[in-house]
Amino acid sequence: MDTLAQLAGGFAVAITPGNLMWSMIGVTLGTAIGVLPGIGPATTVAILMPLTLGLEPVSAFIMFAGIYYGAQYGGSTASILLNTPGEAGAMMTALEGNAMARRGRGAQALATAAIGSFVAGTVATIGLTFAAPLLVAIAIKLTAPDYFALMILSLATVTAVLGRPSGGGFIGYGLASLFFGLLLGCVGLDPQTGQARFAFGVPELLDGIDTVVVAVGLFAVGETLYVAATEGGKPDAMHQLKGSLWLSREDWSRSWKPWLRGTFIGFPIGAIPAGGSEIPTILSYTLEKKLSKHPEEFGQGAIEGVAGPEAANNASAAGALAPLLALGLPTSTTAAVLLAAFQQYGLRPGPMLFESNAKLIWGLIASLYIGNFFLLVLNLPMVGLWVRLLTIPKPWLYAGILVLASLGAYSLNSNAVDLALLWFFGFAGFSMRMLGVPVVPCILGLILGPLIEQQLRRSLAISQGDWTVFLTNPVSAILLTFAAVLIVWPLIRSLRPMRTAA
Amino acid sequence: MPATIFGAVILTLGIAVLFAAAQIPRGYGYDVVGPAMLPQIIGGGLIVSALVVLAEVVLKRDEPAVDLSAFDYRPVVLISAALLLEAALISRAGWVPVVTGLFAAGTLAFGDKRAALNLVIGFGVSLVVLVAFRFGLGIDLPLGPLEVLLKTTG
Repeated sequence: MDTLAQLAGGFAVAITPGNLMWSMIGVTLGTAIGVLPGIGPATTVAILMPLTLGLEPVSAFIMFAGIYYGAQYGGSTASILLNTPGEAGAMMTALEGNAMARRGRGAQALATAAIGSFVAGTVATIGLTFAAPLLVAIAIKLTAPDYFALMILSLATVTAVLGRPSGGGFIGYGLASLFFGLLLGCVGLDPQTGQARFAFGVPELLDGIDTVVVAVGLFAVGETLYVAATEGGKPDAMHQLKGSLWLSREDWSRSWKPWLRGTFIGFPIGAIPAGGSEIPTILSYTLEKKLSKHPEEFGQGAIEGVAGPEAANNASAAGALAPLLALGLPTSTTAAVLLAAFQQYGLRPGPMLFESNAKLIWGLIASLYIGNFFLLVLNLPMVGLWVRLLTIPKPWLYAGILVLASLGAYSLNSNAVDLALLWFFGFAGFSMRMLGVPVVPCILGLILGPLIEQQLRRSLAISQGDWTVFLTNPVSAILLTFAAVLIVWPLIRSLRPMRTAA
Repeated sequence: MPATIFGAVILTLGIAVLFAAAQIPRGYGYDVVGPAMLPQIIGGGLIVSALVVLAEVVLKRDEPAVDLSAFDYRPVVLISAALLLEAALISRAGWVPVVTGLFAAGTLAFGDKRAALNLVIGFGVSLVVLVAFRFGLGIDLPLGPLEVLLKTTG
């Protein structure tokens, strides 16, 4: 009951005309940038962050909520019509949705993705509404060693899940990416002692490296360099939309169950540290294929194969907000960028924020419902416009992305060093992409590194320097054991084949 | 080969981090873990991951097939130069000229040779962004020489 009262309070904040307008602007801009090929939700949120800098926190986060859902939706349009997934979670949509588009059913693929996203987003936001206060109740009981262990587990899962990208990667790649991110997180003044670390006498580096600059560099600039080096300006094969957007009776009856199943797979997996939206979308796809009466259609454009994963993708995005808001723990790249946005405003998500800034938290949650609704009513009629954005010639598109990226990086601190860093991370992202090194562990390492260090120091201060505190505390002992298994198991597996072969 | 180079780069980075971490002053009595602790762990972690990568290469001999010669590096150099020039000149020249250059270089890197047209578009885009951000959102993008112009007219 208390939760509902809080939520009502949140709606009172979100439904003022000004905030409704910010939500609508957020949804529209999020979709417009998210629809650009190769730009995933994390990059979209990062690029658009400077737009909110002039706003008061509540309005800024209401706009973010719109951008967050808009970016998720926009990504599916590019995946379906161009087969360019912006992030791992859109891979299944690209596979099956593009197959539908090739068969002239692109419009239905877009429609089932849009309605499925709305259904999944709404159900998952209801889930978030009730799960977040429960998580807060748990979070209050967690001690510093538990937080430390939880963050280590989060890094271990991301590294283990993404350390072996398709195409045969190495767990060593994921580990290297993770430690590189942790290293970046160390740059600047140590918050406890004020000592400069890895700043090399550059005053701009004393404040640390901004997550936004790293994310935009690794993703947007890295992607631009990669496309320039591989495909150049050749236009993509674009599938025209034919006929009506409306779903036939058969499409509806084949879509609604995958929407719900995708939601129930996506939300819980999104809420635990399991590497973001990749696993739930793959699980949903496999499940739909198994349950379908027409498994032979999968790969040729089966509507269930778009409806399920797209719902799972959106539900996991909402699920990821639960640990982010209640524990301050990001479980996906997009959540990491959102956490950076909170930090930009000097806010620290976690149980305390529910106490001290309830208006902001519940306004944000309420605007997720509103943003989701706007997404549906704005986007079904505006789909033609989004499709037109996809036909922008590549040279203009990527030159425009470069301009947006430098705008995002520069306007954060009005600082030219950030532009040099933008190039550096763009080049790093390009190199990592060439070699197949996963980028996500690096981003999460960067944002979690300072938090981990803080909890580590806190734990050891309480235990007076006794390192066994992590093992004598049952919760942290279990979490750390779990994390160790996640890293060591694939390590053994990847090093073993040689012994049997030799 | 690429994985071997990557492993070597990470190994070097790890060793460099350990050396740099040794320079960080320590010995703060009031803090059990000093500021050099995490950097040391990271340096060690980088070395371990590099050894894992190299071990994977040596033991398995089937590193992911990446053909580094299949990439066209000319556009990469062009875009990199434009971004670094932007970083170097933005404070003095202002937002509009450097971003016009960045846009034109980006289109050229993607094989669009209509340089004059793209310079005009880049100029228009950068001007719109400048006006929207400076006067709409109150975020300062550097004006460069335009500053003088604005002061004399306004």
